[in-house]
Amino acid sequence: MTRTLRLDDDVDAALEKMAGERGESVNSIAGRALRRLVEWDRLAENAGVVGISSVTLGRLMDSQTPEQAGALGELVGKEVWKPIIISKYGEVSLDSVLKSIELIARYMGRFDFIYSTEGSKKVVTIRHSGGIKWSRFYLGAATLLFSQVIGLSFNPTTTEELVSIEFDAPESATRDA
Amino acid sequence: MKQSRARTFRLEADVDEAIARLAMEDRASVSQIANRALKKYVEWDRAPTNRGLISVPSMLLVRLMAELNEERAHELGRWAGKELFLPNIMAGYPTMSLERAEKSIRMLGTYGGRFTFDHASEGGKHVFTIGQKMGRNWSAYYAGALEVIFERFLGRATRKTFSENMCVVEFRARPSS
Repeated sequence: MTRTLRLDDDVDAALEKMAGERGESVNSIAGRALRRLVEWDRLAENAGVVGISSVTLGRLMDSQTPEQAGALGELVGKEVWKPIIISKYGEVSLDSVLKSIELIARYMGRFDFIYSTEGSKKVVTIRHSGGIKWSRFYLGAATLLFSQVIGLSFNPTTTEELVSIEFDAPESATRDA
Repeated sequence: MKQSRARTFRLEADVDEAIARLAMEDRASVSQIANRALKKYVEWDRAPTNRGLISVPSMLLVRLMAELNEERAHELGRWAGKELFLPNIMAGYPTMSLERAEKSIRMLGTYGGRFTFDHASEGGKHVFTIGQKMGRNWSAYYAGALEVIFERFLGRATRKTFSENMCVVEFRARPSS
């Protein structure tokens, strides 16, 4: 659908310039920016999400033991991700958790999210480059959401670069992969 | 008064509806909401200060920084000032300038979401203030980062003061500057 917007001249000129540099249309850049606004920016603002250098964040995480990193992940799962999921989807279900992880991966830029399913067997994989402490952090958050909130039993695999959880759930409980 | 122009976009229906909803919630026009989002996108997306930044919940940063003592937080800030802030401020320019430093710090504050920033000057004396809500160690961190920027690269001795929610760095400009 079409929508006419009144844009400040400096914003309009910057959009034109960006479009020229990237070989894209102004419309596609604006569409992406506005989608980000409605899908993520407001939610992130309400949840107190802020920007920081990945290097500084890595240095801060260095001061944690793997066990502390896991406990922090659980805390963030409870105090940040769970409210985000409820705010966005109205409930914490397997489907809403999966959709939220996908959203977080897309806009927070810290990990890739892979979801695969074969019948009732599901595998959620978070791939990152932060090392074992970040794997423990993500496992902590996953434990809180998948196990403590949804009540699923899962088998985790943790390496330096990924955390993967495997569980059984009926087909009706999840969206299409 | 700002000049503006009308531009027509083709938007996906869900995005268009969501922006209209946000505008109603904020008691603003759709154009005002879109302008803010597009301004952020074109200013921040290309800014050198944004390079290497990732999004995290502020709560996680508070917890991680709480593990350090004030001295280590200050040292981490000095390291970040030298290794991260300065290269970004200098990106594409042969020399450092107060104006460029101020613009970069202000943009990081506005779009990074971690702090507010103010600069006042009178009679050659400059006062930079960072306001933030993540605790005293973060104030020590910012004090370290600002010290490095202004002392080492602008060659000006600074005086710092910091508290739970605020960090103030002062210096006197050379008569010629």
